Amino acid sequence: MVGVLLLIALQAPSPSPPVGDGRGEGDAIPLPPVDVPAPPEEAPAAASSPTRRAPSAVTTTVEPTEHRGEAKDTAALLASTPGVTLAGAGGTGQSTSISVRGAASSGVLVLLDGVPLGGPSESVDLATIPTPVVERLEVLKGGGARYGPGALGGVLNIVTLRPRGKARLFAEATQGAFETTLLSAGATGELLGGQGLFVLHGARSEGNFDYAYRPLSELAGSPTEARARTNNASLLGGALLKYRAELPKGVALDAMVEGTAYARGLAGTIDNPTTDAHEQGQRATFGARVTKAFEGAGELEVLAWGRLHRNAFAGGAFGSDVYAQTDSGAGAEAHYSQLAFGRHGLSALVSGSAEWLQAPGGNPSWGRFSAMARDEVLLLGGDLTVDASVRVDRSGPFTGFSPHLGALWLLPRGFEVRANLGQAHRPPSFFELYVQQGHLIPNAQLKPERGLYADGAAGFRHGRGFVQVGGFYALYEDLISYEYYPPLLARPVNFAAARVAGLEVEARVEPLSWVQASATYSLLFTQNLKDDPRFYLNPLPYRPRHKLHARLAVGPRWLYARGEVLYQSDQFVNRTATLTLPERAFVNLGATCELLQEPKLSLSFELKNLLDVQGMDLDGYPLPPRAAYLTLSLTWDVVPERKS
Amino acid sequence: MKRLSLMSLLFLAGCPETGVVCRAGTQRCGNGCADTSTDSRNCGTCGQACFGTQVCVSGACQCRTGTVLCNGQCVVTQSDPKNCGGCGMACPAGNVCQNRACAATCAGGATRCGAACVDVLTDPTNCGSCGNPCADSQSCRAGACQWDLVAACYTSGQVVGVASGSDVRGPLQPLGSGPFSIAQYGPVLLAGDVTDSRLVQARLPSLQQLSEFNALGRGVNQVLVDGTQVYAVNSTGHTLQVLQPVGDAGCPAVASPDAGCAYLALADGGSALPLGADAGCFYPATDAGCVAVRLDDGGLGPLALEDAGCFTPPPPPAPPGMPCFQGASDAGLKLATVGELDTGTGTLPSAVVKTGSFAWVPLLATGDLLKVDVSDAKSPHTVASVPLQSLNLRPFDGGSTAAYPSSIATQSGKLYVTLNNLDLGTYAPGGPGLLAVVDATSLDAGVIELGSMGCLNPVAVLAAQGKLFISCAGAATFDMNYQLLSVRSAGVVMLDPSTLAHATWSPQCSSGGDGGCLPILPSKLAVRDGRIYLGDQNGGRIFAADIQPDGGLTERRGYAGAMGGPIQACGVDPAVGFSNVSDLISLP
Repeated sequence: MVGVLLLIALQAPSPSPPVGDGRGEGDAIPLPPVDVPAPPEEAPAAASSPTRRAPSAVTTTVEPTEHRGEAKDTAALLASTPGVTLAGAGGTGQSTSISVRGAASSGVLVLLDGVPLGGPSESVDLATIPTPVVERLEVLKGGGARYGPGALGGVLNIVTLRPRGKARLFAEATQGAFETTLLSAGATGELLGGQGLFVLHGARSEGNFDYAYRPLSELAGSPTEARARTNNASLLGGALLKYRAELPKGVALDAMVEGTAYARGLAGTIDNPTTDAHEQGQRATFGARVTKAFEGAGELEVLAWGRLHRNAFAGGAFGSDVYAQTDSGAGAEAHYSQLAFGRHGLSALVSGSAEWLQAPGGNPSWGRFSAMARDEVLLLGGDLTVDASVRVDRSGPFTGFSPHLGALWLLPRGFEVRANLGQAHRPPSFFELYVQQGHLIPNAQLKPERGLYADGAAGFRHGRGFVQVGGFYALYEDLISYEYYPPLLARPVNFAAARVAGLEVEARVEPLSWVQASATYSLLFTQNLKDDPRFYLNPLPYRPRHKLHARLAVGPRWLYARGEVLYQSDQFVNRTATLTLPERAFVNLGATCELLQEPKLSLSFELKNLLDVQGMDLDGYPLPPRAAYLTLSLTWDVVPERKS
Repeated sequence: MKRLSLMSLLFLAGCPETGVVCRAGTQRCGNGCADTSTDSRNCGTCGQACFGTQVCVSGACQCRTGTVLCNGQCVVTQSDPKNCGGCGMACPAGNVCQNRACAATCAGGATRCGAACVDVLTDPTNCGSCGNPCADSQSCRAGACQWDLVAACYTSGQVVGVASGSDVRGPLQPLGSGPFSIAQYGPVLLAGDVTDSRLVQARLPSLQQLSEFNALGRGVNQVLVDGTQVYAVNSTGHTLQVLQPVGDAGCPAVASPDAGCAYLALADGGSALPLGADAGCFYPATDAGCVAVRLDDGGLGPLALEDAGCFTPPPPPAPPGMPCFQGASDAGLKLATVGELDTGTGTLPSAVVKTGSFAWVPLLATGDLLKVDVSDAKSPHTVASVPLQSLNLRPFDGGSTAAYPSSIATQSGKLYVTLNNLDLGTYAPGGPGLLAVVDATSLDAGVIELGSMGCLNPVAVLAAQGKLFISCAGAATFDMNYQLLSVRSAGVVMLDPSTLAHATWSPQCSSGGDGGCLPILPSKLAVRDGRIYLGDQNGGRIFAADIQPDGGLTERRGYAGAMGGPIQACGVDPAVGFSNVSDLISLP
């Protein structure tokens, strides 16, 4: 939002750009597209919380609408994002975690329209994020110093669908392998003087599949046999309700309620599969944002939010008893931004929240209080944006400072350079600190994890595509890991320091109106910097060094085919770097045919894992084999949008 | 803006502390890590070497057991001609000292080393030959230096030797990443490494790691050596893995018999290892200063026994079929997996013992005991299963427990299996400690209740000296910070299985967890020289008790030990707060 305000402010005094700098005549000084993501015909989704994102941040945005009909869940949509590593348990609806730039999943802050989804420093399961409610996924890579505790490696901001002024109905149905059915339907339009949106969605999958298993794994030449992954079913359903209204005196209101319920079998591990373990969960998220613009280019934004997530486990190692836990939170934040001195965008944020956990092992709670001050200044006629911020957070007994310094330099002919430097931290979670979970016992003596990060990227944007190449470096200390604790227990300890460095390349080109090609590549080096000789200087486990995604789509809009390759190199699974999971490469093919234009009706066919490669989850349990899906999508603009 | 930037930079609290951290119990010395509490070359501090035959105990150089300090020298008054029978009591010129008395010649088969009469089979200062002291506090047994006990430290990835009697331990030696189970294979110590899923090796008695290793399945719980074969029980990987030496009886196919472990006969009737042709031998004659001569057969050998102190006696004869080692580099045992048995997903095999051509494998998760025919190592197969879960587990208060068979031993045609007998919900003891008894022939099964003997949660059983020794982990109580506060019904039960006569030893931590007394959490145990040694998985210690002639047990090393406190075998990493003796074996 500050970026938009700055844009307005600078339009008047800014001198005309020199001839031949590549900009179109009459253009204002452009800000990076990533910071002004508003679509051309609609108001921006105010609840996306752009207020905290630094313009210099290295961010990748994924829009599900670009992948309509491809039967992709939220995790699959993020699979191509450079710097992101996903770890899925295998199959539709099975748990999937996200790692950004080598930070563990608990070091990635996941927000739903600005509302933190997980408990304090808890990993968020992406499988419970329904794709039909998502408008776009923003992945901020590098320490999210402006987002507060937990964003050690980055931030995933899930922006839900925005209400529209014109009435629209939309629906999608997918049927495919493993008895998988995905259904969603929604409507948007004018409502009570504003704009409303309602989405219903559901998904079920039997999930069972066969795989090749070698029971005598250490005996050279021993045969494989066919086994079935069972107890892998999932069921998920929910709804999203949003409302947006422009109120008198420059006040805007955005409200969102999202609810999701799910149930799934827990297949266990390849060595010890479980036939009766299962999980049930319900999540409700609420957010209301009020924005008021003041004369003099000031703006106040207030967000109130609440979150409730309950999940329960039974069967398997949990026995006949139900192990249920509920994490909840509620809070509010106020953010004021003000243009000053012609080129400064000053802002301040204060927030407070309370978070609770109810679990058989304890019921901890704590309060969080945060304050952030920030300045963005435009230099060189607006071509150079320098932003600096400092944030202080008090999370229960922990205090963290999160400074950030960044710069974005827009060069002629579509080139741009960005760089960031900062510090982030992750306080231990409730479970790590206070609550026993079966064999996992807590450690109240834990210190927060801390990360220092720096990155830089150079990009080139053109009407037919863009390319961005960036590198990053981060130092982490006091990383937390569960270690054996007698008898038969595991306990978290601050064990090490580590360095993480890497390279991220992202390119997209549309040489012809009917040809689109994109590719991303991630290179990730990790190294343990403080440990005993068994672990010292070893790579951190579960961090594949290479990840490559390439995609090609060919054809006119009404009939196009696509293919993609996802490659991930092997990865160590222990700290001594002696055991590995093998590399893998998945090839997916698909085609979409537009059957009708008004209403828009399209049919898609998707063939995943064409080569039937047996990938593995982090425990070595095989991932789904080749699978086919058929999707029917409908979008009907019932009433043409009223001209204002 | 500038001020804000400056503030930002100030809040960057500096780079993290980095660098190698020595494993628990060791500290940085130069480019490496040394156990300064027991390392004779770095005793107390880096570079502080002990003189002569001194050993390093608790960070201080001192005379080893059997020697006394005379004029700044540690001497054996039993045989030292200058201190024969006491300090300064020199024998006349030409006399020798034997049994603390001067004499004209050595008698009774004693070996003359200078003017001292010694038994080179037992003398740790002249072990096997004159002037060959054993390193650190190793014992001399049958003319070879050896540790009496070896303990594995899982948490810190180390092994350590302990001398029985003196109860002094040697330096901590790194071995693998997480050695959980250890076993002796001739001159090699094998360790099942859980962290790396490997079978790693160390040279005995130095305990220095060898480069050879084999891949194991996941979660190796026990390694058993039987004859030339090695059995590994992979708990998570649910397999019984059989390994055996590569090649003809373990000797490399390319090595001619005489080029390997053959010893050269010397003119004076002794023997020595060939210096230049020891390709197949484990003990190369590398003694510095050894004068090598060309022998009649073209090889090289030492000139004479007394010359330059280079004589290396033959090691004790290897058991029949014991393999030689591959290559002159002493890489270690060349083993290969020849057979594997899948016990079934989710079964969690926990241990193994051999009787004849059968291996017996208890399954922790299902509560069964498998009888496995291993007569053909390449195709082990289950021939019978004994359901231990169906035994009367006698749960407390009518609850329900799982048998959780965790370890096994055999004696007199019977198999003895410890049953943890834990509550299904809490994994705490839900019934008395039990010992299942299975007839190896009829497969009839019954239980011996150990609970009435003060034992809960039995975790290890050992058959020795006609008795059974059972380690009981007890019931642990933690404080609010999950520090171990107390453990009740923990210790050792010594049981005569035929009469059920028993004795119990329970090390009592009287002052509780926060009174400076760290509770013991028993793990594996070993029996040696009439003593029971009990590993501790809480403080990394070894407790010891003497077996009295009347069958009683008295604490030797422990909270109230007659000889002092427990042996601090494994180092404690302050960041972790505990240390784990994961296995403890006695070497013959």
